[in-house]
Amino acid sequence: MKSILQVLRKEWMCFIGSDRGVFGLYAILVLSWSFLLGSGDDSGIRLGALWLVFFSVVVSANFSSTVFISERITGALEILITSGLSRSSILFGKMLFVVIMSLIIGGICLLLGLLWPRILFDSSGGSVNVADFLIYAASVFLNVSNSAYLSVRISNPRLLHFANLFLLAVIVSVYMAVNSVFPLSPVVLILVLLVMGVFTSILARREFNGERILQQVIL
Amino acid sequence: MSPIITVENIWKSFGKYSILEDLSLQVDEGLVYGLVGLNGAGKTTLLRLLLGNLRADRGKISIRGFNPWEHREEFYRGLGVVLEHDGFWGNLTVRENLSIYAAAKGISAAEAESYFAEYWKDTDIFNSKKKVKYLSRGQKMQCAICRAFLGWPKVLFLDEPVVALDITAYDHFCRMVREARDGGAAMIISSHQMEIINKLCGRIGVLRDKHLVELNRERCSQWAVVTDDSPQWKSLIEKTGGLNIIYDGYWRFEIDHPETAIPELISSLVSAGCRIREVRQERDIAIGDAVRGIYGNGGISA
Repeated sequence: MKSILQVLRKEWMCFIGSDRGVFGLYAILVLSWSFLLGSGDDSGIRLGALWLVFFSVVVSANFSSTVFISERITGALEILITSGLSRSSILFGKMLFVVIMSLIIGGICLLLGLLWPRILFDSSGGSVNVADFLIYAASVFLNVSNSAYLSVRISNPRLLHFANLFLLAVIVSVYMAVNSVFPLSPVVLILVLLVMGVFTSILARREFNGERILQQVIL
Repeated sequence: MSPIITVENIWKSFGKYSILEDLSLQVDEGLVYGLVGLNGAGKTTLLRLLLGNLRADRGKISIRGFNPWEHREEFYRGLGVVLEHDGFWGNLTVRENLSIYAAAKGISAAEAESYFAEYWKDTDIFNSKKKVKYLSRGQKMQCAICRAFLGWPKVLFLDEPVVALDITAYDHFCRMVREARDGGAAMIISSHQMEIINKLCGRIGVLRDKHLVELNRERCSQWAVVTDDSPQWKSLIEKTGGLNIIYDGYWRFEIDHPETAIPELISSLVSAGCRIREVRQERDIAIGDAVRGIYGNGGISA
């Protein structure tokens, strides 16, 4: 656990050491996306939740690219794995960092999404709720674990965002298709996302302990 | 001296491409081992096998009793590395980078600062407040060396450690290596720069055709005899065992067992009436030539 916290601290230090422009971009992203959360209907999974699900790809894949892929390009990952931290600690520390950051940013986005209608349109608020945020959290977890796994398996990091988007689109589409015939609780979707996330975490852990971890990144 | 690094008959291939075959190596406590070879000869692959970042197809590797592929934390905590890429977190300063690395190694912040102050205070990285990404290539290399020696590990793998170093940083690096060696550390330095290999390494291995060929350092002795050009002197040098004899304003040649062969040669030259102006050893050139010889480009063979 101590090693995971060391990795978490390292990721945090690297993040806050980023250029100011990075924070500006995140602020713009959160502000603009929060406006999208105001619309939706109440049939099955709602539009607000869908916006959040795909927002999770934007945020978590972005962080994942930095923590999993850029360190392979700069050689920092090789230094880290030869430093004395276990490979599993490195993997889970990085995953934890991305999950925490994505939840913070998603939470801010959600709160703003609830506030804008009240402030701007004097209405009762957007269509997002706690269940939507849980779906967002579960999809963040799946994106992070899938990114960790794919960052080792695929040599071209540009495919990472598309792979996450594709995976989530398939899962949500299947859920919605089934939901149109047999109404399903959003809990089912959350569980599917979590189970998939656990499965890809196991795969990622195996990859992190293998040889591919240092294979060349092709840009 | 007890062996720290033991490699027994390892093989490594990537798909159908074989990189290393039946390679064995032993590095004892307090020895600096030089690893040389052409580009793509397998130096980095060998270092990655020793680091546990690659797994040997066959054979056994033991470093301080650990199998690197088991990725034990205790193994890595006694290891220092300079790798192909500097591997710094560019948004952080030198000290921040070192503090993260020290924490991972189980070295306290106070110990790390004390090491930094004791061994690096005269270098320009000591007072640097810049983020690492703004440092020059040479400064980054100094930081990488500083990081590798942090905690004075018992095993060091240094891949091209003097690239881009200025003369003072180069000398500082040599002092660090000698201090670690005197403290009993086993080191492998991989480099294309023969000067550093010659200066610091007690033994030298050349990777060629997937095998490691050990250079006999005695045979790496190249000697120069400054005298006039005469076929008679050449034949005397040959008789004494001189190899690859060239006249280039003076006689240059390689020779086995120079401690006995050179006095014998001088004696026979003087007896034959040769007026010798100078006799000197030119080992630096000879190591490069010896490596060239192993690759079949002339020079002596090991």
